[in-house]
Amino acid sequence: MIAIIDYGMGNLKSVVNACHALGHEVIITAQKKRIQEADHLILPGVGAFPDCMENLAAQGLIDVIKHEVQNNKPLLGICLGMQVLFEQSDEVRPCAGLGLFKGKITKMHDDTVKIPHIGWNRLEYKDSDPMLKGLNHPFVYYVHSYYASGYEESDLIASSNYGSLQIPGAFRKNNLWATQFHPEKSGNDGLTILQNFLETTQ
Amino acid sequence: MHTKRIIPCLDVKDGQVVKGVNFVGLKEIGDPIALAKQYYEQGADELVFLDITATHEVRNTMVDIVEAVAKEIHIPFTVGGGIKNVDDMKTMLRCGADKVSLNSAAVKDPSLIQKGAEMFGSQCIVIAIDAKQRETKDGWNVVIHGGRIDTGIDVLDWVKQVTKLGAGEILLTSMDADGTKQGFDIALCKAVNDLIEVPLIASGGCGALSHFYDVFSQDAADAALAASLFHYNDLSIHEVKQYLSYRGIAIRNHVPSIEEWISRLDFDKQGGLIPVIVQDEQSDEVLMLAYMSKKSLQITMEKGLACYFSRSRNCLWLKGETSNHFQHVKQLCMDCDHDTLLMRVEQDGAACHTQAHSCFYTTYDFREENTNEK
Repeated sequence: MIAIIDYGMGNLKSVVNACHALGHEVIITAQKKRIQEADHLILPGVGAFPDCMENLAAQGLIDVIKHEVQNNKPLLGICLGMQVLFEQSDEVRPCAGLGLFKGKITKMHDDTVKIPHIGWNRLEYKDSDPMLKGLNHPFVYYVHSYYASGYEESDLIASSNYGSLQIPGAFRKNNLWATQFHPEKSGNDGLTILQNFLETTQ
Repeated sequence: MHTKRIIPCLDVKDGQVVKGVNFVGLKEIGDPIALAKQYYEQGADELVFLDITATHEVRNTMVDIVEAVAKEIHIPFTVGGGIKNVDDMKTMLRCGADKVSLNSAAVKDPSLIQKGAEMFGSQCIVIAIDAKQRETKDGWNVVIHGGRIDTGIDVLDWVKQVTKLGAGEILLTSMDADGTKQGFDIALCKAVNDLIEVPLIASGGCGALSHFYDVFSQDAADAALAASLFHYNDLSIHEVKQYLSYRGIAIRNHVPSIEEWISRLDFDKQGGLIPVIVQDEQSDEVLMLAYMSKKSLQITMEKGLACYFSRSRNCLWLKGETSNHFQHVKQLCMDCDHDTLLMRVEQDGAACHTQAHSCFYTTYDFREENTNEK
């Protein structure tokens, strides 16, 4: 069973629809027990970083998420759900994240391109990875103004070029997966990434 | 590579997709769910649904459509038309829409933009603007209610206001161009695009491949929206994207494998061989014409060096093998009916066996200044 962690932010429907399209059952939940029982966890999210952390804390989800990830349960963070896996963010005010990936979320700056970075961008990478199985430099859909910096190079799987910026697009450390883009909105290639994630086992 | 987006728009009335000319004279086109799926499969980057149903009772059919579409397509899609308050936005987003678009309602109550952005995030809020050039030709006014009411508000002022309030994208329709198939209103788009940090979707007037190229190459928009062009199958989304890639516009395209690309060519038509026009990549000069078999094309694509099928010697012929005049392949283009190739190359030495740069040096000239008899 896949559990989509619902902490009251963002449109969960498209993640649900994408999982259904791949033939998987999903539950949307904020209950610890359900999260512990699930085989795969998805942490989606849109909105601002501090609100997201506050909501996770208010629902008592921070410890259970950290605990499950430490037990190597597959978890996929999407967009803001990726960002909160890092140590810290500057969005709105300095705010601590879950600290499961090393690095910090900072505002993107480049005068030659529009910020927010909205739309389809190609994934660039050198090495193959279980995340990219069956794909050949796919295009994925992004919507964001902040991005990860100061991360471990070994955690970075793929990135996209935008103006002079290199946008870290996907991270993986063991069974902890994270994408800045929205695989659930990136057409068939996005569904492949989701499917690759759902094939991982604890 | 950040890409420009191609967005088909589906105007939905009473549960059916319709499209009008200059906002009047609506014609029925078809089932919105089937069309959405078709566009998704053709490679649409996003979809926009505009509900133009007038009466309230039929509005629930839009909810059903949005729910069904969200299950079928996995790209962003926007729902607009008749969204009047925060509850309407919530309904559509909960049904599976990724974005909502506000038009007349935002003009009547601009605070709606801010409320929506705060509740759902700016990325959800698309402001649709119908623009009409003023009679004095010194700018454009915002018109509402499907083009019936000129608000007297200047489009550029309105754009500044809505982006300040939290609009995440602007969908700009030129009323003057809409339905004419004469091309996007580039002057209008550029004026708006230069003002904003959020993406601009250009709409209205697209009728040909070159219109997409024009609006993107002049940096007048981030995305282009079209309706009737796609509905009536004048062009497919795939064709538009192939064309734009060819013209050097960054586009999200499925990158085919060598086998997949070769399989699209019609080798049977001409007895297993395809004529290949060879062009110098730098000068555009036509260098020669030769033939390729499936096997020779495969070698060409794998090696990046031209390999032909020699009809006189009846064998594969790697150009340059004996002469050292290799052709380094830069681009291959297949023609519209998939039975001829254009190959753009960097030529080592001469293309012609006579050592001429091009094989086409024997001329009969009709041009006044060059006629053979003076």
